[in-house]
Amino acid sequence: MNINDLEKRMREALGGEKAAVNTEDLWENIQSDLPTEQESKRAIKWSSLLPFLLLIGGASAYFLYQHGLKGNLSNESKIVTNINSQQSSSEKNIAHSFDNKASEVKVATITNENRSAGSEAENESINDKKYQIAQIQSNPNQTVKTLANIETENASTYNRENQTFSSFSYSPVHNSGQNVNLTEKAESVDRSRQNRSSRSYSATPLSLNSNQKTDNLFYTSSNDGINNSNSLSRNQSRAIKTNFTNTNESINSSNPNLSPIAIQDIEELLATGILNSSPTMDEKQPFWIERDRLFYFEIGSSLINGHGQLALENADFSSHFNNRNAAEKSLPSYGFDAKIGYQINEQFSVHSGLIATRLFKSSNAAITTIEDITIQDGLIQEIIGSNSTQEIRGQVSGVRQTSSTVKRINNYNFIHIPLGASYTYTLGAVDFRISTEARIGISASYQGFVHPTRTEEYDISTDSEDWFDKGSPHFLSMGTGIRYPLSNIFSITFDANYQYQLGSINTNTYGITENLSGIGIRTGIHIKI
Amino acid sequence: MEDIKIIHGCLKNDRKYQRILLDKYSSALMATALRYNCDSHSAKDMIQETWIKVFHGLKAYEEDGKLLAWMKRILINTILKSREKKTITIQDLDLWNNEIEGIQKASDHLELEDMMKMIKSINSPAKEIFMMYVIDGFSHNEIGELMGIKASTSRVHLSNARKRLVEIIKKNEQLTI
Repeated sequence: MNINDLEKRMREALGGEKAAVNTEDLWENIQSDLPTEQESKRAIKWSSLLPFLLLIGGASAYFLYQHGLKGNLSNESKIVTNINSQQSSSEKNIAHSFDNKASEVKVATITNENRSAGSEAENESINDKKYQIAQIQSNPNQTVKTLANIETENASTYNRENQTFSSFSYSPVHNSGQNVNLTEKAESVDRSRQNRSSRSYSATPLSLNSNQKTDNLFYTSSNDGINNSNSLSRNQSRAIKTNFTNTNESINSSNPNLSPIAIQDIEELLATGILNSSPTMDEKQPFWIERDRLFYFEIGSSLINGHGQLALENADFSSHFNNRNAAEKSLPSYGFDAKIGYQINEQFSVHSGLIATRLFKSSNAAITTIEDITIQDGLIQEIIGSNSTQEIRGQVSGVRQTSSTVKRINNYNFIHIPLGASYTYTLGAVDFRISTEARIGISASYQGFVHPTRTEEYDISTDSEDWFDKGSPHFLSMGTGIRYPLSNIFSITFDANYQYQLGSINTNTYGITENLSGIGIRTGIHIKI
Repeated sequence: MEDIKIIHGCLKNDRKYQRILLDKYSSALMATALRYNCDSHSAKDMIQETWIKVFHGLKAYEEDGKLLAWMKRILINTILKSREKKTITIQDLDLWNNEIEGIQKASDHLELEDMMKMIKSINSPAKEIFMMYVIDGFSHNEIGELMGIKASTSRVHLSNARKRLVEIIKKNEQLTI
């Protein structure tokens, strides 16, 4: 028999070998050391609840904002047109006009005097709602515009035939207590053509002639530039009253139909409920098409400084291994992310995507070449490694040597799915935003580990699979920063981030339960789609 | 019951499935522990420790159909760690014991007990490396990781173990002629 035959026989005879063992005793002895069912269930429960909690929180904040802030706005600061009664009956309305063919930016001034004059002259109450009327003189083309101050911010029209929505939003700002700055944004969505576009109008302080009539209202709406520019004259408003249909007739400064709507017309509209009553479902503008861009795509990179103080939790271990466990301790990490977001409104958005994170290898994590070892009675008294690649162990004493070779920690990689929400506040040209997200770990990998030594005390495994728990811990992350628009589509972002790890990489293997955290920065490109 | 179902139950820390897994594989693990020079008492300790590691680390197991091999790897790792080992160097090897008693059969008629005697006549760590490589199916790289030696060192030990076995075969053949 040659050695190969012998080995084959040995493999067959010994490989499937069994020996009697009392499994009852075994089971009794290990039960107390086994992970409990409750622990795993609890972990699953909390991690699965996290995204739902975030969504509920985000939705609550959104509705609180929608219903809370609007109610607090003062009567005098609101200017609105609301022909198709998007707003509730408690809100007041504004009529506003502009020249659709003229430039998209109008400049006008409301003087304090004329506002007062208008208010005094027409300080009437309709259904306990105050409104102010002032005439606007716009451009030299002498198109007479009439403005009414009523108390809602939004105006919209809905054309059933074309399935076209047009909407306005106004952000009036008092200017030194004398004049009123009006900014206006007109947006519309052509549902039938699946196009979205918008253009913005602004009105800076405008002047009124004191002798101009202030008892007229004029309404006009603008579409998105893709379709029609809609203006409603008096007659057209009446058409709305009866048919609730936008005629889509375009007007300009020379349009003779550009006659103001009398207050009586508004009263009629109010009386018939068109202005004040809540619209039907068909007539109401869906919230999801209120904005020009509904989704955005964002790519970014981040640098996080560290992951907490794991060594404190396991100080003796660390002293032996000289930062070897730095995979979780003060290791910087870098990551790349790609996220797609949905803009709920101008302020709130939700997002998800993919984040890949890599922990940097520790500069002191390991050595690649042992330069000198002093061994006595089987114990390492001193071990010095190469620092040519900044991977020096330094000195370790009193531990057992089991290896003549050393591996090093390379990298530890995570892949997470983020579920998050952001709040954006626009100030000037810059958007300030606060965002939070939960990162659900879906994958983790690592390359190599260090095992030149073992200790009797800690019984470190030489098996790399024992070195880290496999599995990617979940994270919570918060960030605040700015988004600076480069164009209507592209913005650049800078955020300061804080992240909190919901579990330790080594929880199971070493019983380390400290939740680690890190602070860093993130930069990215934000693309509206 | 299929391993895959048992594993999924164990991953939920279901005691019922954990017990099934333990009952199913403890005897194989026991035989392996005994083969690696454990007495019955220490073998039981090693198996207990192994089972705790298995149940804690089962999520790390890649379901490749080699569950027993994976558990054996943990067991062997546990056994090796439990021993006080001196530095392994090739120069230190006193290859094997010279005395083997009780094997005076033609190699074609060797029984299990005879094979174990032959293996045990090899000195450590060549003996362990031989068993890991030949019987338990580890690669030299894996052996290197487990024992903290280079793969090339593992090959040298295996070669020495084979030399020893060849010597025994020849000796027995001479005796039985």
